[in-house]
Amino acid sequence: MNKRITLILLVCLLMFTSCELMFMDYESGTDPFLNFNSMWQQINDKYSFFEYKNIDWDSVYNVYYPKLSKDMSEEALFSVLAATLNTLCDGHTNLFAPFNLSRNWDWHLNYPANFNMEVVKRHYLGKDCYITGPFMHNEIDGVGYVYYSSFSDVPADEDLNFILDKYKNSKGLIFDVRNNGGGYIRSVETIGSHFLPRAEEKEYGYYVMKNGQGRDDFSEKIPLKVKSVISSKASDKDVEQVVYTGKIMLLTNRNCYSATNFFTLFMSTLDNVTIIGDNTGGGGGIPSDYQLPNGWTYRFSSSITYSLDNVNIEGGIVPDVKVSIASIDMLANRDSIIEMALFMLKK
Amino acid sequence: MRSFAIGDVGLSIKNVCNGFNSPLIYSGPGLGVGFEYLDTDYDKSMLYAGINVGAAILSPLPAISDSSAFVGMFNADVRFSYHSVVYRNGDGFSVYVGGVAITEAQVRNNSVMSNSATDVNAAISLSPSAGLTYKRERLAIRWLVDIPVISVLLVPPYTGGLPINEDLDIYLASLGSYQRFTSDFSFTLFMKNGNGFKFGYKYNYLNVNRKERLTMGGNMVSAGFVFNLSKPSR
Repeated sequence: MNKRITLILLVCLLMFTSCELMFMDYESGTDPFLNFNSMWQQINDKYSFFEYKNIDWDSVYNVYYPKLSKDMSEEALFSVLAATLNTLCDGHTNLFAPFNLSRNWDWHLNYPANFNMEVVKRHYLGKDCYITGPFMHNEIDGVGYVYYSSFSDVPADEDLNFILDKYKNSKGLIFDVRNNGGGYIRSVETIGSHFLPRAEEKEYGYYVMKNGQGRDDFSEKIPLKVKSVISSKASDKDVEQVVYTGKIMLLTNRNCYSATNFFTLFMSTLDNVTIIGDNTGGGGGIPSDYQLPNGWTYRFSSSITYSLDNVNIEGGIVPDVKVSIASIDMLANRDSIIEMALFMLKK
Repeated sequence: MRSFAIGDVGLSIKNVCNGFNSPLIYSGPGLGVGFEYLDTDYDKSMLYAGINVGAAILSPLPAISDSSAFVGMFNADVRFSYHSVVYRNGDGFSVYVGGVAITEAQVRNNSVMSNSATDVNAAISLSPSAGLTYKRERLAIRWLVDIPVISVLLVPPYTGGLPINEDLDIYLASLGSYQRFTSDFSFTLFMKNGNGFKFGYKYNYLNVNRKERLTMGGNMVSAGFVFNLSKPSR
């Protein structure tokens, strides 16, 4: 009896070992057709800008699927998949393989740079500039100049408190985000929270998420908000945070993308801010990541962001004052955009 | 009635296929610890309360060219169960039926993702349960099986493929959208003082079918110490 019971128990236990593998909908392998179909289908179901960009995704399939072959190399497969992704004309689409990273940089490489970091360093920031957290800054002719290169470099409130306190009595502030390719939205909120008066909460736009397989399947509007770093409950004595509400010139160029685009959108809603330079490069979709059956990862936009006026910001934001760096200024190591900002603050 | 406090540690192998961001199966080893309270007379009823926490590192199965990919996983559950004896023979063999209330949560993070890296799910479930025990003076063998029939699930809305973008969706789930199965086998060797050593094998299966499909299975072997909390009989 004992042996029989033990035997039955052991058989039952063994029956369950890893049986979940039978129920898993997995796709794994290096077959080019499998990988292409997996990527095409995910994008077909979840990409957010087909309508806005007027893309016929079925015809993209018909163009690129025939370029596949059973025995093609990994590099050749990468080229086909990257070309397929690039038909989306979206800076938020990338394919990550161990040997290469596909990208679409048309949004800035097809336009004038309007920025030269060497000129900014040598002729505006100077050798004695401050580096506070992710910011480089100095005073130029009584104006505070702050350069911020990436929203992936997360700023601390202390960094902003120091900088904004230092320039609180200046004629104004130039906040330069040119060549800032984006990063974290929370960095937008952190910096933005120091440009709002105490207790103010500013709604600066909204976004919708793709939530179904249909081209028009999107979520309800989700508001984008920034809240002042100083809450209404804090007493004056307790307040150590610094907010800046003086004149601000925000400098932009085509290489402002993604989170920088969001930041520009936020700043555009403030009355004391003037945006100077070139259009931002865009990037209004939040990218989501996926994996292919061969293990490579890829990402694409899965949301649409709108201004309060219902303008889709995927194509970029137009500055209040459009200025390009003139050829003659380039030769003279002058930055026409900074010069315009200085002129406007000093007049 | 005899009461026991049990502490055990286990080694596991887990398999996960998380359809929202990857078509691959991730598999790998994990560690778990459990603390349990058991109240039983082996003749009439069995009352059990336990908490288990575990963590695992999983890599794609089979190995793929990008070897840097892995999923870190953390799980925790709290279980409370009561079983009554429905059949007993003279050899120490008993059949139990009862119910289990389970609260559980899992968090997973995929190393090669950025915005879609983290995924979570949690559930509060009620399950019918059945079990077998075989009891000798120095030996107790127990096998319990449970399958939740009704659950309150917390899962991401998966809008746009992003798991955590808004608040978690909360909904009532039945077997159609949420399947879970637990098989818990253990045998305990008792010493003269009533304390003992417990060795166990547990199998878990989980399938959440909600917009994106998550399937998971785990096998764990464990060993622990059993503390006899009952007063010695005179």
